Amino acid sequence: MSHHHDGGRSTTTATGAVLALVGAPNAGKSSVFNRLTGLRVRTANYPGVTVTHSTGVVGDGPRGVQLVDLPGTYGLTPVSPDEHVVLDHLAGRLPGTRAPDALLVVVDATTLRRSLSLVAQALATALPCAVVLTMTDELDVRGGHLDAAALSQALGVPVYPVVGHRGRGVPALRDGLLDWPTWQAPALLPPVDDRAQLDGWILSVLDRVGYRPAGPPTGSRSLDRVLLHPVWGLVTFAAVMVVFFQAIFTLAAPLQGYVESLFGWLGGLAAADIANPVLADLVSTGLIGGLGGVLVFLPQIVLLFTLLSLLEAVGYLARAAVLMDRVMAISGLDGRAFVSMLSSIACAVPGIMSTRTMPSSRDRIATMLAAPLMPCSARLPVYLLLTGMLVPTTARWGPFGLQGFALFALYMAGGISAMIAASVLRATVLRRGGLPFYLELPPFRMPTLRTLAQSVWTPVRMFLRKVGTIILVANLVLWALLTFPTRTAETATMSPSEASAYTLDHSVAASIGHALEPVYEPLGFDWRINIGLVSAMAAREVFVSTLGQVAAAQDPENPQDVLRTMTFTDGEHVGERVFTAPTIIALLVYFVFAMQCISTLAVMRRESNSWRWPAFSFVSLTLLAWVAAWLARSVALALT
Amino acid sequence: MSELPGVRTDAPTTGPVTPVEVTDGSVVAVHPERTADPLTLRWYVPGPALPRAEEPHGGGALAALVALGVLADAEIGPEGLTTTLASGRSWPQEGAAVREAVQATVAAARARPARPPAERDAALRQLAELVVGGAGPYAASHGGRIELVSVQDDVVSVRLGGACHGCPAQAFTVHRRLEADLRHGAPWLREVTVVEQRPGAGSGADCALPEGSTRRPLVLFRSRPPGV
Amino acid sequence: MSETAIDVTSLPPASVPPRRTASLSVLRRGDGARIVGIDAACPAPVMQRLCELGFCADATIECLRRAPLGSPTVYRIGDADLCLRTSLTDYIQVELPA
Repeated sequence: MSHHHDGGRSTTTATGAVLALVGAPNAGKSSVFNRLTGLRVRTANYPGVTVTHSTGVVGDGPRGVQLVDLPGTYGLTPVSPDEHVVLDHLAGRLPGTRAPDALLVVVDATTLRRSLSLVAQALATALPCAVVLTMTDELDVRGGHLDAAALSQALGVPVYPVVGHRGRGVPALRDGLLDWPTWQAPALLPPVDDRAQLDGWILSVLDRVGYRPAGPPTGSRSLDRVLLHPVWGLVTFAAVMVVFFQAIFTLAAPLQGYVESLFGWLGGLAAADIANPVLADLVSTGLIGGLGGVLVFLPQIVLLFTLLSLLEAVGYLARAAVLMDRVMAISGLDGRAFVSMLSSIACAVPGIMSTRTMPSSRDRIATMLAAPLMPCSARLPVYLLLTGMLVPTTARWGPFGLQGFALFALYMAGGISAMIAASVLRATVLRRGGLPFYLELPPFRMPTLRTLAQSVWTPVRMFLRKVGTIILVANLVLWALLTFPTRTAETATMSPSEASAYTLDHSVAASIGHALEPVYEPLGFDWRINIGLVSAMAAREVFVSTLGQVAAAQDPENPQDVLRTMTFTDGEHVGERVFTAPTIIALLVYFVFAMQCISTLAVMRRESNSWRWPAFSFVSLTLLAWVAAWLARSVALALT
Repeated sequence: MSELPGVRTDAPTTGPVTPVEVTDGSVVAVHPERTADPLTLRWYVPGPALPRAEEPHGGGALAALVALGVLADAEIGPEGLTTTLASGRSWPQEGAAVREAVQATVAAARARPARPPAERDAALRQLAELVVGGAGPYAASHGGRIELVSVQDDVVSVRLGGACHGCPAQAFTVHRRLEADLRHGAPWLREVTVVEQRPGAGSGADCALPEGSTRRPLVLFRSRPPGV
Repeated sequence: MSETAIDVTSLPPASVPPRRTASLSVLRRGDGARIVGIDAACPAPVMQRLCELGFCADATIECLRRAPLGSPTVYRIGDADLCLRTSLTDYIQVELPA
């Protein structure tokens, strides 16, 4: 269970009180949480669902308390399985989590009327409560009014007005929070069991505090007139998405190149300094290469989360979801899934991580499972190699290059199959347990650097600590498979490329390749392609260099010519060319569908909080890929 | 494993099948606030101040709760409606019943057609003549004298004479007895004022405020209705 | 939450003036209306959430705009802007201004 992961820390704070932060989405809850806890935050999944909560510490010593940031909610009556878990947490019914000792209800002053319903439900828990009143500055600007002291009188609990993003009122809140045992309780709890009575209570409290609602956010309205305009809305959306995509695709690429060169250089340095060739290879390829394999994702993840947090904090993400909802509805998802799907075109790892912005557990899983089908950038080198062997680069069909056309078809196949997969999942295994789509459009707000930094740091840290270790171990295992048993004696007199080919051809991976022959034989793959498929688990593009290595190409990164002439070494096809058109087509189709990325599986495990979904994804997508490749090959064979 | 009171852990089931669910809008908006006394709640009622009920304890549902021994006291006072729990009772237990009684009382008070001012004053004068007769002997036993000057706009003016005039006990005398007794029968009474004694001024029989006299309100403390 | 249902037919005829009620879906951009209730066919959890979002009887609502691709629709409800798909707006009964 994930909440034990900080072992030592949680035992030291277990003696302190636990306070929970509840509030509606967009109420400024995370802003308040960040202000109170700083960077000492850890995030954990609830068991069984993809809902996370963060925990931080406020104050030091015996008076210090743990502050738990619960997922945003409009009410405490659970209406979905996700919300059930939150309520179970509040009631202390979750194994391993403590029920909070007190509640801190974050209330957006500009939506006080609606928020009082949540406040009433929080008070009705009979836990000590206090109210944190946010956005009071915005209420003033928009011509509204309320009396915070009267609110405290009316509710019978402390009320702390704060301006979260400026930090105003935060010291008073921190002091008040540490004094939670002295909080007064209301003499009589609000009537939450009867909607009409509750409405009466709310009206009375609103009257008591002299509440004058804020006028409509005129600035936001004017912006929305453009941003949700039938024409200009879509144009700006396209522009924002182009910038977004360019950043995580194009801007990240050279940064990832630097990371790779840095680790290549470090690896070379290590290899040169270590006499034992196996040890040298372990350090340079296995360890340093594996570490590089983890850190290479960092530029993308940092960029993605910087942009995503910015778009979300400003309020644009909600608008993007409105714009794309109609499109995503085809796949049974809603507009909020669009950005995740788009990010997956760069890489499924950040794409899956970005599903955190989606509130529904069911939609998150559906998006996560569909994301690996999106044509990620690691597939591109494979597609380029194989399409290059299939059709000459100069071949044209009308004004279009045939190779480009083939690439376009492969990308479309990925995108369309992702949408179909999501809709099938939503109609079958993920049918139950959600609410229809509704989304609040918060007024446009300027985020602070502090909030942004926090929302970038949390996923980055999570990735490095939780996903990084899995990727590193997997890379080490793969390295061992491709290296052992060592063949130092046999390869002593060979050239480096011949030597690595010889080692690889007689490695554990080669045995696996041979063992897989009956499985992949119907697709026309020989054991060397199978080695490539095994090594592609590290990252799909590794397929290219592994094949190059197997074929003892001079330049393993460009093995096209060697591969073209590669023939079967044994079996009934001995002497025949391996890379025939039908086989290349089968291989391309296999790469469109197959789940061959350990990093994706690792991040899926992390985000879904179980091995169940990555296992499901691996098995189903591999089966799908095999069947699709076989069909494609059969059709190609019939046509040629 | 503690259950949370007031929060349902199960999603509510679908209600009766009707064409349209309509919320009953007749609930009176009120909310309780704490007072210094944990047994006493002050109920905030939006809108104009409630007219004082003519019956004790606001009458109706609240009086019934007092009679039942749930409440020790209920009062529509100048700061709103207060309810005091009888000892041995708890708010979580009785809260819903008291809330409903408060709402019924407020609804009744709002629905009651206001009596025309002239009629109110006439009733108050009738009562005041009776009560002054009652307080009079009390004041007289101390060598003082209370005289009814006027009744107008729910305000009763009296003149103190004899040993009463300038006596520090007059506040006690006038308020504790007179105001309480008057309010008991005429809850709409606003205040009792004392008119300075002027030699040669007209008697109370004409019931008009003498020319040149000044009113001095005596609102030093509020009294509870008698019988509490 | 008690689901108080008033049988409209049992009320004296005089107290029910003719009202133009319709589902929220019929509102066009810029239209305002008053919510009269939520259709009983609406699943209870959904009804609960709609209520918490401010879609209660007597609340006024304004249709702000429809998304460029036709769905969802953005409404002003209470103090917030919310967007809903037609599947939800069909449940919400509103009284149109005369």
